[in-house]
Amino acid sequence: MTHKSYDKLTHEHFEDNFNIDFLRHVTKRNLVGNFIGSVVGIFLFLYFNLYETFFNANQNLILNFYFGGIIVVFICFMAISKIAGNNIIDSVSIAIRRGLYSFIFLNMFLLIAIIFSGQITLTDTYEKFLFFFLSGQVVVAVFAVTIDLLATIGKN
Amino acid sequence: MQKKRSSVKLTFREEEELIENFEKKKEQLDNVKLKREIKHFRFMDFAQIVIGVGAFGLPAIINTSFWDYIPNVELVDMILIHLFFLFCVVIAINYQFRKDLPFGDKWFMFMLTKRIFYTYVSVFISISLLMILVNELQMSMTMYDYILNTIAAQNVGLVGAVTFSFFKKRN
Repeated sequence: MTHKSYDKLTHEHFEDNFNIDFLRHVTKRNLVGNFIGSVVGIFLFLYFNLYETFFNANQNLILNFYFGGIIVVFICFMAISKIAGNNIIDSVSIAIRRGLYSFIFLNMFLLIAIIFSGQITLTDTYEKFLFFFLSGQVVVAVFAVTIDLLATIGKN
Repeated sequence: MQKKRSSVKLTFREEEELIENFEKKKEQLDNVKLKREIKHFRFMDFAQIVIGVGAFGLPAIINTSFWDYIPNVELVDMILIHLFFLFCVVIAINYQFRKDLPFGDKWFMFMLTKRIFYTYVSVFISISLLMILVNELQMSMTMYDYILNTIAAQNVGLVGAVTFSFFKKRN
């Protein structure tokens, strides 16, 4: 059984093997889900000081988690789109677009939280900020991307 | 057999009204076309911004006297200058799509905000890469210097990106 979806912006009709609207479209529900997930992630990250405890301020560990996470999420999105019957180029396009939306939103929320929490000051080095921010992204993404996707899975 | 043309004599005022209506309709159609264009931020737009930053921003960014001068400016002043540039960019991008300011059009304002946000992020990505290239983004620098340098370069990049987007070919 196929699922038909319609893009209001490009006025295009799509036919997939199953419902992948949660990957094709970003709605207000996604934004709210992303915000809730980000708040949970930021709270855990800052309250338990995960930069020092979990990541041990180890740059290699942070980079491994960061790029590993991005690759895993990208491959998952692409695989779902491919199984739904899209060709590989469309799947890559859908995965990049969907991933970028979540990435930009959670980054924005995290950056605001870091600025207002006072964890990074103007006298700190850029290196400290960068790795603090990257490790924060890893923790926040676990919650933000999950809730973001769950907000519209199965919805038409 | 020739058809007789119905000759309707119009008064001057009626002719003026007709022309006015025609111009209004044309403006509406133009607006629809422009609205369709502002909706989608495609990869082409991103590429255009990167090229714009490269073409207009690179000469300033690789210039060492530019980086020598930046530490003399206070961060607060730089932020104020940045806000002014940002305001000008908002106005310029608006006039790229419309002939008036869209204070009453919520839909257009939303789309314009989205496009400005994407433009800003695209310029930031390009600028960061260029700064790494000219070794102005070092791990050992303080956050004060990082923000100052980034905002200064972002000003140049934004202006370059917007300038280049005016060369866009319209169909």
